[in-house]
Amino acid sequence: MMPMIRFFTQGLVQILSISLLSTSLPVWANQDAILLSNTPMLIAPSSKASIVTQLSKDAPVTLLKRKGGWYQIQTEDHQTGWLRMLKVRFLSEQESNDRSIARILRETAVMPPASGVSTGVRGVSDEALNQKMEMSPIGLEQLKHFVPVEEEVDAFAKEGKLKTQENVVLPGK
Amino acid sequence: MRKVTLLKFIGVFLCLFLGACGVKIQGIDLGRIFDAAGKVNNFGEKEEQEELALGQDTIKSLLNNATIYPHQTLQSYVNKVGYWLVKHTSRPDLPWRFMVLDDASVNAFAAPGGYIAITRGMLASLNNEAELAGVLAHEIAHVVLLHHMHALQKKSKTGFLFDLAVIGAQVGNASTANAQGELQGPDVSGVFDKAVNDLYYRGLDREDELKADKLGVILSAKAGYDPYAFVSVLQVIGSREGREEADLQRFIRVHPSAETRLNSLESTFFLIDSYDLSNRVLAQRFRTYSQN
Repeated sequence: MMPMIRFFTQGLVQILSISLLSTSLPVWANQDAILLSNTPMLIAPSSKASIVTQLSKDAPVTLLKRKGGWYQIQTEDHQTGWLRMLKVRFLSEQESNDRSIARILRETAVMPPASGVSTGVRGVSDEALNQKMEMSPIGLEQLKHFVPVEEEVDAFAKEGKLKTQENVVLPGK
Repeated sequence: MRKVTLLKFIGVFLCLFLGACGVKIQGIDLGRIFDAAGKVNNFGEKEEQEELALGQDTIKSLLNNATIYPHQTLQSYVNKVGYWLVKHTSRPDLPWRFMVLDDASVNAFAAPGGYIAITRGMLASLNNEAELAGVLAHEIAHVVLLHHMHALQKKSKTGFLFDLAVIGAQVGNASTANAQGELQGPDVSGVFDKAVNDLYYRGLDREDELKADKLGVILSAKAGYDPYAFVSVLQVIGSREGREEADLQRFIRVHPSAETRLNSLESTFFLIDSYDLSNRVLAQRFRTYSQN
């Protein structure tokens, strides 16, 4: 019986995984992770924010989104809050699948969308890159043609609202 | 001291001889190197010339088994991100060359003199321009800090004084030259190729990788990108370590574990957190440029 359930749930996980390939979610969106140490879950992405709850080392969480050095996370009991990015370790796809299967068996409910199976989702798919190839071969010498002049670089930065952060000092400079 | 004087004498002699002949080994203009050998007091300039020559030969050697991805829009985009980053380094005037390789594996690497390569497999694993900037900034840091240059010098023993002795000996032993003036036979080419293969197969010293992580993160932040995007890249790679995934094997072999790298970055992010940053991510622009 158990091997049949495992086969069924793995199939379900794979189907959900394939359906996600067409989305543009970040690679880590809905990524399963565990905590590297005891840490407070905060109500907002700021060290001054109030504490929602205290989480323990190895507690499983799901990452929802990122803001600066913070992840918004959901705990297994569906509480949400914010943690420092460096406080988590991503689960491998196998660990994540095992966790998803365990969750299905435990809850015997419909699996939440995109839960724990999104490590294959990529910002730019290989297929998209292959379809858009401009087929003229490029030699090493031709790379200089892609070097932008300074004005192009500055315009590119301006378009992206990128500004030199004068307060940041590079080491050894 | 007498040894140094003797080597300088050999250098000046070979400068006159090779400069007149225009002899090259592995594309390195020996005339130029030995000309520089006369300028012992101007070591920095000589080192940069040697770096450029070594870089050109290194990238040619590495591209023997790789193709540059024939997507001009993408190449141009990656160059713009790269050039915006290098503008903030101590070496903005190097002839930087950024390239996307037609390779599905996840990898990125640098060669001396400003060559930076990223595979389309790595690009496909990224989500936004800040992550791309983080990866490029790490490679730029290797060039700025001369990591590959020094490693190649160490491995092939082509340090400054070794140049004169080793190459001089090879010139003495060489018997023929082709029409382009390149020496034939058992010369330093083999030593050089072996050094390149060893270095890019085994990777840099772990400390060099960790230093490049730190400088790369700070460089990203200085250029206005969200420096934490690089943490995201390492965390995703970390979740795939320990599995037999062909597309990650090379990357994993030549880098410390993601856990080691993230731990090492903690103090850098403690510093980063003290700045008020603009933290640009630019996910939409990344998708637009890379999918069109």
